Amino acid sequence: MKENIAGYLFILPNLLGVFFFIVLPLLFSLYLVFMDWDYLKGFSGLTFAGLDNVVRMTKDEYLGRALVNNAVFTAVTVPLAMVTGLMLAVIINRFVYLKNMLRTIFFLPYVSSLVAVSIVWSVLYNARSGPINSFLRDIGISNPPGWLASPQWALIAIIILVAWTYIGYTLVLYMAGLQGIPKDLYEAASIDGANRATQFFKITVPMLKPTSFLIAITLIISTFQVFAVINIMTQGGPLNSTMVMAYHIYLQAFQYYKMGYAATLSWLLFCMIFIVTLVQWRSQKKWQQHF
Amino acid sequence: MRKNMWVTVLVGILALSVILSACSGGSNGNTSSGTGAKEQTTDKTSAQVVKLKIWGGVPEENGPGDVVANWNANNPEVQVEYVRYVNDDSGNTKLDTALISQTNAPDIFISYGETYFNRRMNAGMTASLDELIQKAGFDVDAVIGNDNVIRQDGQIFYLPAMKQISMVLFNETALTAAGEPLPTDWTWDDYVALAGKLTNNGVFGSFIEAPGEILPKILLTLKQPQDSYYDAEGLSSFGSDAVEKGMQLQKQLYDEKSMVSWPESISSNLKPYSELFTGQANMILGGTHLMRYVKNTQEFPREFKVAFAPNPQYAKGEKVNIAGFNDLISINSNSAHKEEAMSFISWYLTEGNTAMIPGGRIPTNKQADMDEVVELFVGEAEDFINVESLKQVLSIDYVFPKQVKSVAYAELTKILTEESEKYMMNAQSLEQAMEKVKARADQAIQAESK
Repeated sequence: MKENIAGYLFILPNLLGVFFFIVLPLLFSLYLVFMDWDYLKGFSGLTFAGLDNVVRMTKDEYLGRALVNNAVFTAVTVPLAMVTGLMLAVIINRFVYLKNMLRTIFFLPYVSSLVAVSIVWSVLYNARSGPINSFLRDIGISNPPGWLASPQWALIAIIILVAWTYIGYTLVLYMAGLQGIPKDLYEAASIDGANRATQFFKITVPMLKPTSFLIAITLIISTFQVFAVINIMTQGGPLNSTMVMAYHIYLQAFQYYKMGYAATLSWLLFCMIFIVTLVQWRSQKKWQQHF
Repeated sequence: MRKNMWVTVLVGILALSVILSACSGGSNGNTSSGTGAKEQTTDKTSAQVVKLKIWGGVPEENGPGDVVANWNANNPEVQVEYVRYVNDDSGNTKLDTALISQTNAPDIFISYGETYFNRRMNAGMTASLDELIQKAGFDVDAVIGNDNVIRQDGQIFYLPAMKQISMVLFNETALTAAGEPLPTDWTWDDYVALAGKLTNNGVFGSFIEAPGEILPKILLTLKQPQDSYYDAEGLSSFGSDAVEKGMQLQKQLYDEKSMVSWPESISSNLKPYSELFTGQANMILGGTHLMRYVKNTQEFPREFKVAFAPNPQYAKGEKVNIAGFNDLISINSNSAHKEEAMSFISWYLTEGNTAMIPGGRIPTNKQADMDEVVELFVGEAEDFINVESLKQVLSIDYVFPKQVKSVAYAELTKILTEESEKYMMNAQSLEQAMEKVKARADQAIQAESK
């Protein structure tokens, strides 16, 4: 009993921090869903709005656009980063030399400031005089894509950039996963006459399932919240082709000062991520039984 | 047993937090309701040094640093501290939260543009200045001009410190080579025609910053300087033919390749001054706020002189300037040192803001000597500036826009920009753009004023 109290006292500072900076704002944002808030007036600026904010969502033409863009963004970015990361991990793992250096190089974008990375990539993507289009013109493509300046290409450009930053993350995790696969499995397989490709698909990929699961969950959650890159590079444009949920929420909250509606949208985003994660957990149980 | 422990601890924490938050909420209420009484009893007898905090958006090295140093040297009993905030969405939010807070709040703050100011005034953050102005013996009419301050219910809540003047900047060499005289009285049709003549050898004839400065918005302001976004019924004025003409003219600039394309200008974050100085464009729409770049020949070395013309008009002979009075200074209604703050402001408006001229800010002071202003403006860069044309542009007696209303202003701007964008990028016709811009704007206004 005494020990218990001591234990709780030890975690109390942290618990208080969690409570005040996470739980309380969370509950307050839920409260805001049913409110209109002119936050400049402090707490007296709160007025009851009932379900107005929820009804508003049904009339919001950007919301649909943002959701589609979010879905496309996540559906392409996550597999792209995972597959590329896995390939690179397998290749680098074969290397005896330079393993650490290569790993560090690929990991660097992930730990670099997204703001700096975005600014550099906007220069690279410049349609008229950027290095990417200059290169494309040099190899004979006379009409290279407009990248960030084109409604058709802007989202693709953002996907490439974000996938590039995540490759380092998936690579490091996959390399750790690869090292955990017992060598005798491969030996046994090669004695049985399985070639490299078969070994990869029948041993490496299944053995990496827990790793893949972890990466998929974390990446889906973070790609759903993509914001910084959009804010710096395109501001949701051109023609709303890169409008995503997080940026939409930001506009509502800090440009139009509709805090209640922004909170409602945030909860929608949360629910979506929550459901996706729940489904993943369920399916993971199935995978594990499969083993 | 263990479960019980958990429950007790959680309930304890909850109770604690409720008490704590109730306390802080209570004290908030007290201070805001009690300030009225407090101000009157602020004792001036104590010999303590009063510290004033000013929040402004100009980097300290572009003037505010000198202003504060000048004041502090002569007023040991009132010491001023300048805090810079970045004048963008997040910076303004930072100022707003500082104003709500009780501990770190500024005494004096500067808002840029009526939209931010109106928000703050409506939330009761700005102190009424009339009495303070009287006490400080500040003559609003003589220094700034009664017409140049917008009153709310007959009261003054801010004083403008800067007069911004919009102008068109030219690469003089290119203008002379095209055989064109410097325009003085001109319309936007003339502008578009001149842009065509100034376009050659891969250099664009014009640059207007999208999406910040777009012709539909500019022409609307020119046609209706007072509350340009709203019509007489309080709905949006976006059905105006000024908007239609603005869209057409801007599209013409893109279609004739006199200007870099709309999406590229946004995605590459192109700025008017760098387009002009790096030789990408021969004519840009700018204003006095660009003077610090014009003077900076080290960072932007160039061979040519910069010449100036007033911004083009809706119709010939008019004298509307699309910029106007800015740097709106207010006193925090919760400040404990309002009188000291006012004496600083009256000093700043009569002489203090001269230190801001080299940074490109023209004082609102009517008595300021324009020749002296131009001299400080130009500094050592006279070899790179057509000084005569600058004097000419600055000496015109302009009509400036006035914005009293700001219902859904940010949203209206966004709507105008978006529908224009769709038209500029050939995603919809002019008719569609005009129809949607009006319908959406009216809807936004109605939703807000509901």
